[in-house]
Amino acid sequence: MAGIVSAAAASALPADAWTQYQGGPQHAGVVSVSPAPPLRSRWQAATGIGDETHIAGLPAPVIAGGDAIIVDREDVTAIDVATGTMSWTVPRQLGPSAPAAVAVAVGDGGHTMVLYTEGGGDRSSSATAASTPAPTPSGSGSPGTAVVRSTLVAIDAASRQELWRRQLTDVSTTGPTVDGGLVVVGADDGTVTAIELASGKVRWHKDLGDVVDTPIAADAAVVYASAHSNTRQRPSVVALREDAGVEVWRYTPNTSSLVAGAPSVVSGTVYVTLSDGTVRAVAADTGLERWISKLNAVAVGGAPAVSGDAVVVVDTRGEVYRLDPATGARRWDFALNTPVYGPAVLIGSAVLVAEGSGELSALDSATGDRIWRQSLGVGPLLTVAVAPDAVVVARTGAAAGLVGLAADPTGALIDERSPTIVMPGPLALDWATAAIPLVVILILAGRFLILRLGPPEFERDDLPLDGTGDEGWADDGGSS
Amino acid sequence: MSSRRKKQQRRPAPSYRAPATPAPAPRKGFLDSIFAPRGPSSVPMPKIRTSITRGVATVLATPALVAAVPVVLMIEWLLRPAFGFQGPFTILGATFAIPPISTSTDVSLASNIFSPVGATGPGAALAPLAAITAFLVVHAAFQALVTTVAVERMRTGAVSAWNVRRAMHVWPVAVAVAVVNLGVLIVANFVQLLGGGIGFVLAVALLVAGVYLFAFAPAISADEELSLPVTMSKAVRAARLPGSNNLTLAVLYAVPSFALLLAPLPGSLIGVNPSAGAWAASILVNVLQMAAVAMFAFRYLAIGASVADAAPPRAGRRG
Repeated sequence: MAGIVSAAAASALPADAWTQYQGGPQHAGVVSVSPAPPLRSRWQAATGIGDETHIAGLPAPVIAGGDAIIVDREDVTAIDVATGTMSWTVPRQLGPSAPAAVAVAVGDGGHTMVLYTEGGGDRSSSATAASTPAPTPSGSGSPGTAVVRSTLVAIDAASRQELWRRQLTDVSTTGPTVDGGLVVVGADDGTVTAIELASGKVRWHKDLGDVVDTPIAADAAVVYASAHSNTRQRPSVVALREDAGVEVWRYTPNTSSLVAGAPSVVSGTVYVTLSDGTVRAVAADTGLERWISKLNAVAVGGAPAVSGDAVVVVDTRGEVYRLDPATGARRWDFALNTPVYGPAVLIGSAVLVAEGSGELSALDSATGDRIWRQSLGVGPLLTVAVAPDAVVVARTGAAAGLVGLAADPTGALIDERSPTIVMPGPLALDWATAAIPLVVILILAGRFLILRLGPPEFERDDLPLDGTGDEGWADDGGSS
Repeated sequence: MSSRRKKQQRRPAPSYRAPATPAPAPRKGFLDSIFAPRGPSSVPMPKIRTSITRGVATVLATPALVAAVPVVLMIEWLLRPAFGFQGPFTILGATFAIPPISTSTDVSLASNIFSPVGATGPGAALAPLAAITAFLVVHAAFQALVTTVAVERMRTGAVSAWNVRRAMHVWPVAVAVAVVNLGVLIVANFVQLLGGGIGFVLAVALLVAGVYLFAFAPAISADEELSLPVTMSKAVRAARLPGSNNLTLAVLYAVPSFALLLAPLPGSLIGVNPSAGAWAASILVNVLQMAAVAMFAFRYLAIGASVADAAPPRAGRRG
């Protein structure tokens, strides 16, 4: 494969396509053309993403050529977005589910490629496999058996023929990120490997020294990786040049946090969540901190969704926040009060959030009010991908698979305010409803009890308290 | 209360009560009481069931206390969203709790609301430390007032305005108990670093010890004229009376109280508009917390005469 790779290798795909984790290499999680709520469920397709613990990676579908592509534990499956039928599936070495990427390599026929990682063994709750890192990436590794290192695989989207494969140095849960003609992928041993998209050759290999287990962002010839330590040290966000892997800067926040989430980079700013319950904005060119915004809980479930005037993050307790991209000031928040595992997605004027309760919710991005919600059946929802005429949601649990939704012209919107907004009327009414009867009942019960029991008898009842308060203890000279 | 009854109840000045036992040489600090030999083994400590019944009856038979609960809860709740707190509402379940139950929620709340974003070092601790202090002092005032009302109610069968003035006397002791229990909480946090089951069990044991050793202090202060160190010392000795089952009672109080803070009661979600069910649950829990305060007061009043103001000298120690 002697194709010539240009920096615009992926330009053949529509700019608005959801070809990677959170849409593209920037992880902005924003699309302008999409179905608007209300939505309705059109199809459900079973796939093998039923690892309910998801300590082995978070499945996230990507969309290309009318198919939603999901990396299962032992398969890569493409589901037709319009009908929900399986377009194709290829076997995969058992390993963590991580987002795939779709890209077009210019030259040599311009393959539309699907890239995914495989292998790494079973890391679900019943996993026992241990990793044995190798010193450098190699071309070895073959399908059919579970191995404890991951391999990056590129296949032709049309024929599913393997184009190249490259074994990594450890288990990978980041999934590949494609920017221009380069694919970058992280591994649990703290390495980031950059591979040329067309040829599969390793361009550079950088050891960041810590675990890299969240999707890597890329923009303007720089990649941004979150790295965290297994030895109670602070996490970092590291910027590396795409051409040679040279470290541009390393942002190590002043915090007690141990984990950083997946970064997103938009308009010269890198956004990242930390396990101390904060969101940090860092200048993409210098690595200097621009602002910090405090959340109510940990929010390392996914990359912040970023548009021109909004940064949207979701914490693990299910509270959605819209922040000002320039200052980090909180514009609104909405407490869903259900676990949320994946990032939010911005579609038009709505924020879509897949909930652990099995509901998909849409919030008005201007006000933060919930404008639509629908249960998609049994099983926690994980992540969302968006096509021009469909929304695809990954679901785990007993009915693991993908759910496809489309606009519902006959559906109705709702107007639900966040429970974090004080509503004086209902607040007072609920208080009075509870307090008044309860106090009356308790006092009556007390009278009954005290009549039944009579006064207590103490050993020295001849020395009672003084009820006047004008003399006695205060004059006794005691001090405390 | 009639003036005749008040006169009958007046005790001779200037001494409130004669020492129950010959006063031994005073010791330095209340820690001596922890390590001193135990007191007499035969004490008239009420049974646990009797104590609980008396505590509940005392609080429920005092309408001012029962009515105060929802009012205080509403005021506290309205203040918290103003500082950016969004829940869960169940944290109010420890408003009238005994330290370190109340102390733990004070620390949690102060850290949640007042920790400066992204700051580390001593400077970053100032705001939460000030907030913790404020919360401790306010909740100590609640405990002092409830204790004083309970003591007066049990001693006289009625409640008068006197207890407000007496609560001012008890307040410093309640603050001291909260501060000591703050230390217990800090140690418990370090102990949890041991990890696994051992760390957790030791941490819970420390929190139980905080209740066990100091729960009597406010009642002693409400009932007797003693200095702060002597009050704390006497609380420890009262707790350690053999055969009193105080440790059992401390476990029975502390463990469910902590569990209640974590339980999925109504109001355990994020939100600032608690439902009627959440209000009802919080009111009930706080009435029970008040009853626990009254219960410890009742138990102390029952055995106060058997507890010396100072620890007996250790065997082998001269002088």
